[in-house]
Amino acid sequence: MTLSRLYRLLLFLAALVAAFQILGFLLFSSGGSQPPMRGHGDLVGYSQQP
Amino acid sequence: MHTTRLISTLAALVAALAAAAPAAAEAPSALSPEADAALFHSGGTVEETGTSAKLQSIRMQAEGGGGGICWGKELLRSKGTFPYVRRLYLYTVWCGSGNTITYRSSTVWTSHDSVCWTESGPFVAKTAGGAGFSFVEVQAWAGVACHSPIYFVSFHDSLMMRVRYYPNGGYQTVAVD
Repeated sequence: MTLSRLYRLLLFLAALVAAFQILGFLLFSSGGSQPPMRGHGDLVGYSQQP
Repeated sequence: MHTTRLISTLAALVAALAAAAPAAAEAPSALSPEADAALFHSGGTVEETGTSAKLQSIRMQAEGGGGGICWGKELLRSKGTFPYVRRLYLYTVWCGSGNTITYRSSTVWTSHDSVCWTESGPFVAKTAGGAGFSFVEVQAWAGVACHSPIYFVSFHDSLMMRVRYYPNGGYQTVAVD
């Protein structure tokens, strides 16, 4: 294997790792949910004053 | 000659990174339950449960003597797409009599996909109002991290929600992050 071929292989591997890292960050950053802005609780019972 | 030297240098580099990975992957230590209680749970109780990859620690805070009608609600704040989904849950029970909050109890916990973990918290704190007031505002938050495709490099983030609860059973989300 010549030196230039090895450099090309390393460059390819570095690009592959960078692409996976970017893909991972996109998955990490996208999606999700947030609680409703307004709503009503579910009745769980009645409480006597102590 | 150069090629051989380059290959041996790369092999040494890969071996060094592989050896460093487990140490770098360890989650940083959190506050002790006592210190955490002193900071964030004054007047309340703290419950710690065993940690696992899926369900992390659970914290609880309560106030007030009760009276009137009681309501409960579990709210979820989540971020990310598989395999990076991280979730923060806040379950609150509150009671109202007339126009006054008489009791409030909040429990917070986290749940993540397997490559993520809770690195701080989860925490819960009352930020406004409370028993004897016309509303109570509760904030829950946690610091989370996930392994990136390069295993020993982590992504870091936080989850937060702040919710107001009213004596008539209504609630309003006032902030999320």
